[in-house]
Amino acid sequence: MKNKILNIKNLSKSYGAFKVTDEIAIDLNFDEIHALIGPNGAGKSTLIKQIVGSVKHDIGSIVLDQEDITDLNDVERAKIGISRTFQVSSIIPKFSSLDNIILSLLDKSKETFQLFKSIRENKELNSKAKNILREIELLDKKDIAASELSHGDRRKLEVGLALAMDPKVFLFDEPMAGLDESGTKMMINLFKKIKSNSPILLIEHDMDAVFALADRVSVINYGKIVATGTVDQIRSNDLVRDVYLGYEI
Amino acid sequence: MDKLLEIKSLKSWYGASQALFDVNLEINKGEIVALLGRNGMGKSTTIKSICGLINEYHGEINFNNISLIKRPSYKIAQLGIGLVPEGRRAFSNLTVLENLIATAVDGEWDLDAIYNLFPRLEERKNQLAFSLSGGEQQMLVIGRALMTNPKLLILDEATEGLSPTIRSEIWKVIEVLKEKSSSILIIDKSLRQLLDLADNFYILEKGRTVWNGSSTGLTSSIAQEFLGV
Repeated sequence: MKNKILNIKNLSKSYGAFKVTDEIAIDLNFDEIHALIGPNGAGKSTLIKQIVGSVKHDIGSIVLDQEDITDLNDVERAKIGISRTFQVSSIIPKFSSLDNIILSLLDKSKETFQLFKSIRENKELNSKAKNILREIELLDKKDIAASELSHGDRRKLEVGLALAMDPKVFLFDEPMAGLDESGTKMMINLFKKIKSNSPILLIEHDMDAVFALADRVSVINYGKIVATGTVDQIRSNDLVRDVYLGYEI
Repeated sequence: MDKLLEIKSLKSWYGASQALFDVNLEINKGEIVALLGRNGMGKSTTIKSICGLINEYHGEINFNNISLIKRPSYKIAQLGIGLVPEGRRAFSNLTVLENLIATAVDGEWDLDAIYNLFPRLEERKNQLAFSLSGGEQQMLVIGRALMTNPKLLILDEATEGLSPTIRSEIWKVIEVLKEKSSSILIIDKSLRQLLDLADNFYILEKGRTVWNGSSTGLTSSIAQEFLGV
């Protein structure tokens, strides 16, 4: 199991009679992008919430880098290295892109709270934040309030916040949604670059991006993993075509 | 052709920062017009300006020869503009049925017609909107906009974040709307589908209309230059 950075076994969650995740087993290797695809409402985002600890699962176990984190809460899990993005953005709208990234870096650096003005003048944090904005092609919008960014640019900033956390694993929830062609290409190249440091569990509906990026793909339907394999295996799987891909891809 | 919407020299601001510098666009009745451009070029701001959701803007926006400038958004909706905004914004604590009838206006699109278009909404009519899947919520928001029987339907990234099969369903619905000669302004990143459907295209670059024409005029070099595809 030493090659697994994340190992999830038998994860289940029910709301009354409705099983939202049903005995999920999924893992993430070092250097890997593992894509999780499935119909809207299949349980993908709920699984992510269970991994980060914002939704408590009923049974099952989660091991991160050989440490059992099953009983840790969401804050503790974030601190030891799980970083996620959201389907719906979590940025602070009134803050500039640069300030949003600096706040995320500050969270990671565990610096004691200071007046934000003096934090903004911290050269090291500023430099790190600008490097991240450069990576996500937002440096020219560093002083623009997040609320004034376009939808696609807010998605880039969301990924920037995750990068600032420098986690052990990334959980990306639809990072390509709302991005144009060049934004998607940038994100694909970025993910290929960062996966060797921090492997990625990727939820995404953009199949061109999934097929370009994923080392493995798992398919979830009605809360159950119904297939796992390489891109080619998944593309030719009839069940996956029926429940998700359709026959035009 | 009867002009439905005409935008001339539109300029818009978010606080001190100017987002639109010179947007020009026309939609004739029964036409599907696609608004294209890279991220951050002003597509959604143009739509917000049409719908009265921007505080500071100048220029001309005429709808059926009535100026929309400085009109409150609810009055613009009453004039017959139905918006499907980005990000699936159904009324989460209302049922599917309540969402559909909350803003309904008498006309061709009634409950039966919507349920015929999206049978899944009828199956879930008593469910609260927040409990729907993403695809079902998107169907609901499109259904809700149609129930206002709009003269112009605006779709802002209506297929975003949807699974391939649901996305195909939404495109089929847009084809049905085209067959009914609905007037639609659409923003979407799926250029391939838009090329099949839209009658006219406008491209925005840094807040300005830089190109417009039909699908035959939208050459690969133009797509490469302005859209990066």
